[in-house]
Amino acid sequence: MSEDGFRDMSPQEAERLAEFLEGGLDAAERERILEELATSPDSLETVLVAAEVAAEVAADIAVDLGADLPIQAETASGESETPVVEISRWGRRSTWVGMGLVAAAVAAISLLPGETDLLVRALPTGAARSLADGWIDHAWTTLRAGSDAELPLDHAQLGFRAGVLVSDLEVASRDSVPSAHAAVLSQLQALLSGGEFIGIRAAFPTDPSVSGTALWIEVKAFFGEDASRGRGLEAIRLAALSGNSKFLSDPIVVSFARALSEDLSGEAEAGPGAGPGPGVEAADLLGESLERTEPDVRAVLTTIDRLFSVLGG
Amino acid sequence: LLYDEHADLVDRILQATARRSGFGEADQEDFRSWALIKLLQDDCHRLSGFAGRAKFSTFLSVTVANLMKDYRNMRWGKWRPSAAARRLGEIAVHLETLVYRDRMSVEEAIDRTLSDFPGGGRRALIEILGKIPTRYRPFSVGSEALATVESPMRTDAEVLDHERSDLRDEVCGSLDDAMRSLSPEDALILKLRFWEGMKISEVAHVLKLPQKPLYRRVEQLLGTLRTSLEARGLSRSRVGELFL
Repeated sequence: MSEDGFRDMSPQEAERLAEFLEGGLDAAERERILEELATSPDSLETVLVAAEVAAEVAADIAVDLGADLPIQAETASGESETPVVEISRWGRRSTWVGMGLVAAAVAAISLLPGETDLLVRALPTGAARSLADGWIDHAWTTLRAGSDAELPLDHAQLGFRAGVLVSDLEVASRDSVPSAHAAVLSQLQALLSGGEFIGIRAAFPTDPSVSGTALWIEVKAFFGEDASRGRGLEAIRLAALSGNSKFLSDPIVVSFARALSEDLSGEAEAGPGAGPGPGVEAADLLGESLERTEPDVRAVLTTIDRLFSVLGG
Repeated sequence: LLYDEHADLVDRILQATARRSGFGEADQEDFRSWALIKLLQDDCHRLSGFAGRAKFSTFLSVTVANLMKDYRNMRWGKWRPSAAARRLGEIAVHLETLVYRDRMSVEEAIDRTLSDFPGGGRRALIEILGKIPTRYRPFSVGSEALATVESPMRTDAEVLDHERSDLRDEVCGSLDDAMRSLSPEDALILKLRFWEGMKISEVAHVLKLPQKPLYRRVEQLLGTLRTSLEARGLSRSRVGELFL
């Protein structure tokens, strides 16, 4: 017992739970932990909070890595200098100049918890060299207009749109374009005007040079996977608009599209009227378009448009 | 030395944990200081026992998450907000606590929350409540206490409430039994999905299970639970009476 009267968790116990979260336990030991979690609300809470925190911290590392993505490491002559980054067990990293940053980043990221989220966190950082024409023209306006004006957006659609706009904001911040930053912020304000979004609005960055990471954490915490989908797809759309085929064929991007297709397919199977919906077909097509030797930018933009309609309402 | 080497990581994890605690701003700050002292105590014994079988950041996340739970128990007693409420933030945790721990009526809880957190709207709070998983904690009342509240002239509404309460106890008891008959992993999947309000993708991440088959598995588990409850005489229409 600690001096406060609580049972202290030993470092050995903490490490066992950490191994569980990383999927590193053998079957028998994993079963023991599952049994403990199924019967002890305290242990369960510790694991759930730790899983979220570990994913966030790992994502921060991924975002740090993203700052060095090839797109931004291009030299004036157009040649890429791609640093390879290694994350040691103790969280320090060392950097070399060489080839294959993305592969190393994917390998490092894939070892950490919350893979899908990490991929999404890393996506917008390298999405667009600059803001191409039409970057803010989404398939929908932020709020419904015309005959749809009275139809409220549901939670998933709101989350999806919020994720999209956070991506836009991040690119606008990185490019230091105050007018674009203000335009996105105003759309976010309009989208998230309800009382339940007080916490998210408090994280709106008013300074155009401040990145949207803090805002993204709030949006992700509130909307979860729906926001991740919006954020990831918008990053891909921005890259396609700016003709950034290197980003589009990046393994991170391709695996994001594949994971989205799998998720939508799983949801369609579990939902009423089981069967692949238009979202699944579009996500499949997106994956195929990205996996070509040279990504089919037009197909990418068309399928993303379709996904925006399906997921964003 | 150990702390110096990882000061930045420790700070990140303390901040990230505090943000997920559902504490107010002042309590988050207090928690961070308290937890840091705990980590530094006794030559950092909580950290120095790390053997390197997991990533240090994951190990530290578990250690700090456990400290967060201790801190909350120390300050407010044993009450655990749901994962969904924690994700929604301080207001949601406050509302959940009032409704499910303090047993306030929804109206009272909303009024109190509006006064504690000015600026929000009633509708927004109702929406937040809709996102928090429903909890029911059976509690026993001694016969003396019952004698003091039992009126010989009970109204129909009171009789109905009483019957509903009995049915709720029966359903919860049967549900507990049915959950215990499942494997730990199956029980945990359902708990995370329905008790904690997590999405399938989140359940898959935490348990390191492939996501796609999990949708079907949850459906099958619900079928198993339904069969088990029906075998105990709880039909769909009978359970539905709880929601009338």
